[in-house]
Amino acid sequence: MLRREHKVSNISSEAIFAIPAMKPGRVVLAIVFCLVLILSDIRYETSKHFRSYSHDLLKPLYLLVELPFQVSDSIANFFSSKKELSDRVMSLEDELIKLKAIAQYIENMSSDNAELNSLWDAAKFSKDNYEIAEKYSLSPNIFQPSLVLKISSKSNVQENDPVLVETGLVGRIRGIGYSNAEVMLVQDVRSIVPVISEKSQLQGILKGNGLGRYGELQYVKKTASFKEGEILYTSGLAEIFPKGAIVGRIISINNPVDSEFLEVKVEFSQSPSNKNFFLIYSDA
Amino acid sequence: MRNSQRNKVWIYLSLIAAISLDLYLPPESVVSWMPLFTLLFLIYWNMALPDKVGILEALFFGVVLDLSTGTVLGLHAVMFVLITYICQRFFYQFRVSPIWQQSTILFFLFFIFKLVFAFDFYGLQRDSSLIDSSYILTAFIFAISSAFAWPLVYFILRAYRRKRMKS
Repeated sequence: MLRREHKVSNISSEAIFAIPAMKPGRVVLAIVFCLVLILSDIRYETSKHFRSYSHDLLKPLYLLVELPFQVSDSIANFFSSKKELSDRVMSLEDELIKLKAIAQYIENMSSDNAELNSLWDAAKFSKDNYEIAEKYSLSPNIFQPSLVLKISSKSNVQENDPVLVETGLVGRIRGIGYSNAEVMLVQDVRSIVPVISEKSQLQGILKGNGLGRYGELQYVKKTASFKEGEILYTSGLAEIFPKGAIVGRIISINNPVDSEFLEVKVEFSQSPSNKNFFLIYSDA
Repeated sequence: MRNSQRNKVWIYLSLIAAISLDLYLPPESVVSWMPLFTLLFLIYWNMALPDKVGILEALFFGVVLDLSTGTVLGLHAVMFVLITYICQRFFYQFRVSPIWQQSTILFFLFFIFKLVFAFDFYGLQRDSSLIDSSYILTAFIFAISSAFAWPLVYFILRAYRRKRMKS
């Protein structure tokens, strides 16, 4: 063997001999395949139909990761004489979340109690319309964050059902698998929510800008009298989200010279990061 | 089972473990800048055993990540395929370079990787990009954390390979 024909690397101490190079044809084929996937997903939302089912397939992985935590929890519970009490507390907490979610509507209605129609709408909010779902995972994707919730296979959850927590609207169901539901968050860049402001009672369209970022009210004319600090509620215009759920709060209003619209930044009232349980509102 | 097939099974198991780490383990407050272990593991196997890992693995694990993280279908896959190709094309040079140099190269690779995900695929913005200063900072921290994670991944996987795999 000639000198320099045999190198020793740090990664692998084995000799590097001539390994056949990857065939460029296969790489090009793979890239073309990926581009077809990307284009079909953007144009026709092809992944929407089987994305939720993929979470079902990945469930064993989730259980594998959860196993050590569950074992440690169960050991802790075994030695705890307060287990029954904690179960009772948990069920009461669930009840409390439901009541808080309903209370937000009442809070909003008290501000415009002159509108009897709103009051009439409120009559249909009953605890039976809500289903509690536990968080499965939240994807590390800033612009299109995907929240996956565990649901039972007998659940009545449907696509576009709103998802809430006690502090406000979280998003809407985007896809349903066998035992999970994927939620499009209000922070998602594809999400738009029709809203109405608390004091000025102006309507607008709230667009997400990504997780951990401020949302933006779109196409707000410069004559609009939104005020900083105002709370935004769902207006119920698109008939996807129920009327009166808290969405966020206006934190800044700018008047850019080069635009015909105001730049209204909105802080969302909740973040799915620090929540484990969510409410799915079903009108059916 | 032949040694070569057994080795592939060990590689796939490590990649499955990496996907589990990426999807379910990190706390959500740090999830946006946590290193992407699947890609780090894939890079390692492309460098260490380029004849065992290739385009198909990159494609498969990329699509799995796309489906589970909510990104545009095929985006992780195309990036994984490109990075796999780069790794296999330059693995002679990469393998023999010191680990700090490898980390530096990976820093730039991961930084570009993160920026690609800010492209406005749905045409929601006027300037076709969702990049702003806070996203660049996130991408920078992500690249830094990935570069720092590389030596760890490198030594763990090397020990794993030496223990589990037979030539």
